[in-house]
Amino acid sequence: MTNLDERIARALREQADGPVDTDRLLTAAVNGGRARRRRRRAVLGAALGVAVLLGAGVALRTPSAAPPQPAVTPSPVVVTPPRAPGVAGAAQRPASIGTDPQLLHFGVDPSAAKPVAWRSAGQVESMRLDLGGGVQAMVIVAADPRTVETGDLSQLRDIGPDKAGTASGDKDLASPGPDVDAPSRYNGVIRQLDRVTKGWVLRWQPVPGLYVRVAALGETSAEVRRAAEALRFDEARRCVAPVQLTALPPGARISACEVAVRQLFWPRIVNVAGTTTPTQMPVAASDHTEAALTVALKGAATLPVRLYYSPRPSSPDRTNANRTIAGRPVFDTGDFWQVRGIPKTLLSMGHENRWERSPTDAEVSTVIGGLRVADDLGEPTGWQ
Amino acid sequence: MTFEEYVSSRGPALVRLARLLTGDEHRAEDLTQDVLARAYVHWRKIARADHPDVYVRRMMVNANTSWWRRRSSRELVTAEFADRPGRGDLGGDAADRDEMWRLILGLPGRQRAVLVLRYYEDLDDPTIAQILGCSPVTVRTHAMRALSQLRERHGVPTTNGSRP
Repeated sequence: MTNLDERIARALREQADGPVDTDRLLTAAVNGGRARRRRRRAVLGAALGVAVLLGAGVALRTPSAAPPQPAVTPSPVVVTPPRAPGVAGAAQRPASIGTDPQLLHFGVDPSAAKPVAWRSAGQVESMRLDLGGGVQAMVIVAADPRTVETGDLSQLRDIGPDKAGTASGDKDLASPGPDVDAPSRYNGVIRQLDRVTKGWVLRWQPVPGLYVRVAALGETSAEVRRAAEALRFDEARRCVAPVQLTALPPGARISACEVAVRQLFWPRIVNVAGTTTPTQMPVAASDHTEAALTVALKGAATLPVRLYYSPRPSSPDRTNANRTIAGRPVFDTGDFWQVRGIPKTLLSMGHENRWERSPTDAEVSTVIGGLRVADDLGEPTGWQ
Repeated sequence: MTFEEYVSSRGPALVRLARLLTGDEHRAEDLTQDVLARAYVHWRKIARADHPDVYVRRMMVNANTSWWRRRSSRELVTAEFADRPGRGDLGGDAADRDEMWRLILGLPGRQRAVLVLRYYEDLDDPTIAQILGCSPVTVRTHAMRALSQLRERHGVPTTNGSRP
């Protein structure tokens, strides 16, 4: 590869890099596909109806549009990540934020807000909270302001500037552009999130060196204030997930823990070439459970382990394995491995970053051998 | 392979490809979701294809091209890619990558797609030709023109031996 080739490849990798919320992508794609299919059937039905009216003279029973999917009622299941006894909270040790993916260094008053998603990775920890009445709040915590602004992709997409931390069309109005990481922004002032959504954002430092950003929707800033007051920084919680990895290859470690027990609606705004137009995020409320544990392998490679559980009766049970690894039936596609035999669940792991080496068979076997899946994926209180 | 299995395994790669094709994080997600929603409707047919990955990537490239055609008549496209930091923020290597990316972003769509598929996806010319719906000769022509522009604008000598 020549110097120019290498420079092109490096530039492309840098731009493409960044985590991807696969579970959310899948939900959006399935929802969008179903809507598209319903529209096609409706159009077909209408066309046949017109044919009848035009005098075909045959009593045709036109296929009507498929009945709309029943609105998903989010599961009433509530779970608060359990306390981690003996572990200092973020207020005591701000630098510990996001350093251990199995821990969250803050908690929530369960009487005021219910966590529906949590994440710990890369020096940042975050939660999505259900404030009741369909109101959602997003919380990001880190030991430095730049990480708060850029460290959580799924939340950034909804409420913040892009990963480069520069001004963009969907920035909150408080964003001063290049000074996005200025500590002085964490001053306890509530500001409007943007010009098109009814959102509010609050940045503050509960203690020196601990930076927190909370965003919520509402006609007034009351909701974001309520979310902020529900946070507890003098305690630590465990990042529980419906899947555990009890064995890792030599030199490997878990680098990220991400769990969502259900999705709540959040409107999105899309920035296209400098214009800002409001659009609704295609992912509405849903009742599935998603979890991702990322294994950092020796030699700068990663092996994300993803679990997607849908309690719907229509969810298929997948059984078509083509090999057995560590006693489990697995569908092996060469650089992706799907573990079969878990009802209503898609459990996969694989090579997602093309510039990294592929995990070896031994590494994959070790991880699969150490998989522990919760007995009841719909019952978070039993997760470890 | 079911649709869910495909998205779970290939979704991240598709989003990253879309980031390079669109040059915009949000647009990349929208493009990927849109293409996958269409793929969902025809999944049985796609899954039966010899190379579903090639099929879906072709959908991505075509959808991106169509989107820009539609968009260009409705919205003013800014010349600068606004979502990236200014060069003043960056160190030497980072500035070089940033400059290279801006040049790649300025290439015509087909040329950029060829570079992305060749240097990021690491695909060979016949596969790229399948995705773009053209001949391998056309792929090489696009690549040659793109590389020529990059050499010229990035101050790289013309005799550096990049594959045409």
